[in-house]
Amino acid sequence: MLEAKGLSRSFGKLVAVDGLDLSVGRGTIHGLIGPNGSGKSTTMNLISGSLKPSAGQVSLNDCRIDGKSQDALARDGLIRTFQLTRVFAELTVFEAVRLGALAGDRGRLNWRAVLPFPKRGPSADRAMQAIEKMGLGDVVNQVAGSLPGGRQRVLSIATALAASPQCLLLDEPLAGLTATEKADVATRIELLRDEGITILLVEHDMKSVMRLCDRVTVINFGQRVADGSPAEIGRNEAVIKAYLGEKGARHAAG
Amino acid sequence: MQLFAKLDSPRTVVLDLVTVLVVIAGVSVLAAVGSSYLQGALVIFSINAVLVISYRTITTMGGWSFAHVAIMGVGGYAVAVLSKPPMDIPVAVTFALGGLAAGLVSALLAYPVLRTRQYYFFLSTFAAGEALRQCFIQFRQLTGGTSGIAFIEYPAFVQTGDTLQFLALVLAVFFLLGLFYLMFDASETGMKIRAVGLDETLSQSLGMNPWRLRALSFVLGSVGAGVAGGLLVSYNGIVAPADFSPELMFKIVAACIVGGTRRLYGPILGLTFLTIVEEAFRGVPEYVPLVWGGLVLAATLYVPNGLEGLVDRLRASLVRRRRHA
Amino acid sequence: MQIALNILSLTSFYMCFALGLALVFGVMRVINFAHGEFYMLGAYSAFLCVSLIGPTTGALTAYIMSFAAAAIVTGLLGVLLYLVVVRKLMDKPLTIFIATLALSYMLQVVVVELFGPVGRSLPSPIPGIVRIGDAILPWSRVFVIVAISTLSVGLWFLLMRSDVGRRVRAVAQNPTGAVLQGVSVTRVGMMTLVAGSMIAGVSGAIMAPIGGITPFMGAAALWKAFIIIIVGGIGSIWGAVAAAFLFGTIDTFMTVAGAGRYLALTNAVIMLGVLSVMPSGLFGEKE
Repeated sequence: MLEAKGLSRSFGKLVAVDGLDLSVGRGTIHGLIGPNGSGKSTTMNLISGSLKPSAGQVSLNDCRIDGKSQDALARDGLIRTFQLTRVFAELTVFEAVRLGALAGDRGRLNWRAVLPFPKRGPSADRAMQAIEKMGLGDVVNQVAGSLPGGRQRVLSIATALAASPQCLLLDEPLAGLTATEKADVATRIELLRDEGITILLVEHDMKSVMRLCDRVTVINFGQRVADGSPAEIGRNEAVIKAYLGEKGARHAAG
Repeated sequence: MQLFAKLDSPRTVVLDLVTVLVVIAGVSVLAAVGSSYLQGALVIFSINAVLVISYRTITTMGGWSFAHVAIMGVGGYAVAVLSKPPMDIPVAVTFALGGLAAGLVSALLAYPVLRTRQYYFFLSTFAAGEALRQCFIQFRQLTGGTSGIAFIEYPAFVQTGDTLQFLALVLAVFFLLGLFYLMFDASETGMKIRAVGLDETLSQSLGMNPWRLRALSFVLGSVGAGVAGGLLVSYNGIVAPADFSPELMFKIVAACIVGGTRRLYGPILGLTFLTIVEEAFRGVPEYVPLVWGGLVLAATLYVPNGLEGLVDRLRASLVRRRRHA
Repeated sequence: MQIALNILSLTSFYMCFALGLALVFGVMRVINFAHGEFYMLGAYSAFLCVSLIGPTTGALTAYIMSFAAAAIVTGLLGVLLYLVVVRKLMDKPLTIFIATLALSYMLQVVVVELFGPVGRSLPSPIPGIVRIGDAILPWSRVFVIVAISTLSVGLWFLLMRSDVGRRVRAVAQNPTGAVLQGVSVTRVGMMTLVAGSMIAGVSGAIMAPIGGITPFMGAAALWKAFIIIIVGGIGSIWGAVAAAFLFGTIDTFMTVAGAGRYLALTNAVIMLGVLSVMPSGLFGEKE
């Protein structure tokens, strides 16, 4: 459903992403992992429209999307979250998520959009659905900025969810969470997948990724190192070397 | 900590509407019993009120424009030029045309100016404002240069020289525009504009088009400024570049800082406060910028949410007291 | 030749306004609207020094001493500004802009009260003119060119070659990274603001004999400074120099061609034009 072919991006002389191929199947959870500095974030930015690729292409449902602006992509159904959690901190949870629902309104500037009080209406319903799905029902009227970090992360996913994505790009959704929080978020991500949303996530935590993802792509130095099911990846020598280095790999083997 | 009133609930809108009506009532009462000096001052105050609420709409998208007063000038000059020969369009119609002209100019300016953010935005609007003012001065054929254009009339349905009737007109415009900006703020589009003001990156990642939304808020605010300019010009009977000075711009900004901009009543409250100070220092007008400057400085340092913030805190403490009782 | 000299002289005037502001803007991303008033206060310091001490020590000595006086006055104000306003509002550059705008109005009123709204003039302590070919240039303007060039080059050396300068540049490029390197951002910030303010004051004193001294001269100077650093680009001192030169050239030619009336308009349009195409200015760093 989401495909990148030969994706490359350089910053001056630094080649961050080098001829990367990535294929995310519809309705799957696809993980993109790699050591620090491997190009994960750049890839994420390339796919989500924050950066233009130096070469290669990205397509969504067989339509090319590289070069399109972030908001155009979001309206096409490709929505991302951010590594440094971003939420509308000054609004309540409901208001924040509802903005996600409003943004996802794929209509043009319709006449209803300028009438006041859209409190009832499809956007409010979609917002509440997203809130329930992500388990935020108990803090609906709390100010977003006052929530603990883990719940703010969940809120950012709920906001993205309210925008009716076909494909969610999650940037390190489990980073910095406690074990219980991680388990909770992971379960909810699985639920989203079960509802038909395609998910591409960039992550660092190997264990969670292996449990959560249907397929995994490993990246290092901007290039694809391996691609396959979690089990295959776990056995792959090149992957182990990439993460642990030569000595570590020998140590792990012997 | 609970947000005291949600940003767009009907209760909020009603409160803002009540404020508008209270202001109108207050001004009317004062005008009915006041001297002719007071009536004149109230006309100016009401025109500034229109300026200030239209400015607030622009600030909701996160930008503090310094071109607002210059754009007001576009409306003023439009009224001056169109209501005289050879156009001879009735003054009342030129008010609307002035607003449209201001909107058009702001739409044109939107391209260079809205590509900038934060400090670049207010600097570029500063430049745009200066450029407009220079246009007023330099295109002498059209604008009369530094001396401006004189003998602009009241609209046909207001008796010439009748300040009270003119004040009623301004208050009516204030009410209509206030209502419009309120309704717009509470609408879906208004909310999206505020979202862009809060976090543009996040809004964009969800599917909002920041440029279009910011441009919309900029143009809508500018239309209000244009109408205010037309009213001022008709009241004074004369238009000159000096009417659209950086001092007036500072006054608008100060009103919004001191009063707060989260809700519609904030800038109006700030403007009232500043105008009272101005009148109090009528004997020593040189000191007025000093006092205003001090108020703004104090507000930025100690009262970041402005008078609105103080009102919210007051109400919150009242609620707490009632709960403990 | 005359035109070249005029361009040089005008460019140096513009650099006087813009240098300090470019430094503060470039390092701290903060706009000190009161910069214009610091400039103005520097000019008044020169006026005071020359009027009060001049009769005793001779105008030229008093003039030079006034640089120190201006530096002290504006330096102190810079410290105060930093401690009271900037440090508190570090993360809200917009608010700092407005707070310093308010401050500038306050300073203007204070000066009007102290010295009256009418401008003063300071006869040049460096009389006479120099002839180069058939072009003439007053010595006072030569002095300005030399003084501001020295100041600029000195600043460049300080920034590029010294320990202090390296720390300042670190903060300018990456405040978080600088903190990780053990650089005190607050101290660098204060030093920069104080330095920028002192440059403004000293430039004002240098420029005092040229043109009148009024309480409102800061606003006009500031306007020009804004245009220059925006066009030159944020974070770039050499960008400011280039932009000063650009406007020095354009303005000189326009004045010579008799189109002086359109100077302000042209400058504003150029600024808008540059911003449309290059939102970070000519040499600016992208955000």
